[in-house]
Amino acid sequence: MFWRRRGEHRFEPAAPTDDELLGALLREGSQDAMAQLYNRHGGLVYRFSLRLMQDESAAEEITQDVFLALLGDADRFDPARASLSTWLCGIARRRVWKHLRARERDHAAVSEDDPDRIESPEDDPFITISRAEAVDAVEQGLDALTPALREVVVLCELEEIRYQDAAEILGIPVGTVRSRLHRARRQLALLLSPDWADKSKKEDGQ
Amino acid sequence: MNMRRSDELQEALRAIRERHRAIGAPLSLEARLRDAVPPRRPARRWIPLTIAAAAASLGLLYLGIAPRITHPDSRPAAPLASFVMLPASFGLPRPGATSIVRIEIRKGDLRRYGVDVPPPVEDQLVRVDFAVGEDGLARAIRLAGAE
Repeated sequence: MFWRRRGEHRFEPAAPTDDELLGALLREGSQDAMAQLYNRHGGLVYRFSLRLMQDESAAEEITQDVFLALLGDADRFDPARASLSTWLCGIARRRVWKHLRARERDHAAVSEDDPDRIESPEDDPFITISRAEAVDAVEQGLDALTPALREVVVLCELEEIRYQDAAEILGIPVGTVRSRLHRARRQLALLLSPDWADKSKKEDGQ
Repeated sequence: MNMRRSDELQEALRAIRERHRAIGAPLSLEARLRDAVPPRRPARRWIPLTIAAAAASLGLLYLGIAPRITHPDSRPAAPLASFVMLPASFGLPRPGATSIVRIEIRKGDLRRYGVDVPPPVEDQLVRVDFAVGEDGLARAIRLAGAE
């Protein structure tokens, strides 16, 4: 009874278990499996680390650590709890924060509980900026966010990870993810002048 | 935050997202990670033979014959029909090397492979063997212990 096949129906590819199978192959010593896993998930881990560390060599070092951790601790990955990308990102996030706390800064020591310290943009309502300038301003504003807010923006806005998975990576409730994202968006929006939309229309010949 | 600023912010974030997602993982790191993997155990070379024979064995089973093969490492013989080809594997390129990967999954997960699993047992765990190519894609499946 257990092996009886159904009638005609669509078979889905075994995609959800590919990472598990590659992980098993990796434990067997497959270098190709490591390359495949790195190609699948390395970009996400590296980009996340890069945005948080704002340093390419540090981001590369963290990415390497993450995949070496996969090699050494793959048994700790529980596919029932989270996807492999979520698990890897969680490791990256812990490494990033370890680096951030160890790094000496000009300002006060970094804390996840730090209040929002983004530099206030000029509040002059008469300053107008172009669309390109707006994108640059928001990107600079993103870099200026506290790490606690920046990591939420990176995961949810830039990587488009689900709130639930972001919560798992960050080790915080989903509600906290949403509230931090809201605060970050509010701060970033302040960088946009109220007349930006009008000026953009003029540039477009409207 | 008014609607206009919200829309403008979304537009800016969309542009930043495109730039961001264009950043890939460093290629130089892949080689270092490959080198970090300890040497692999020899592949069980009888698997390709098993997979190829599994399809042919259906005809033999119809005739009431259940041929068996002997593993090179003297493990108990495995019936050729114990591995079932995965329909999703048809059309996949033939793997250069194949390994058996044994994992534990929920019985309910077997439905994605076309196996009918009654609800009362779907949460039970079962160990299965996958015949996997070096591309990480499974070609065939059997219950562990079906050997």
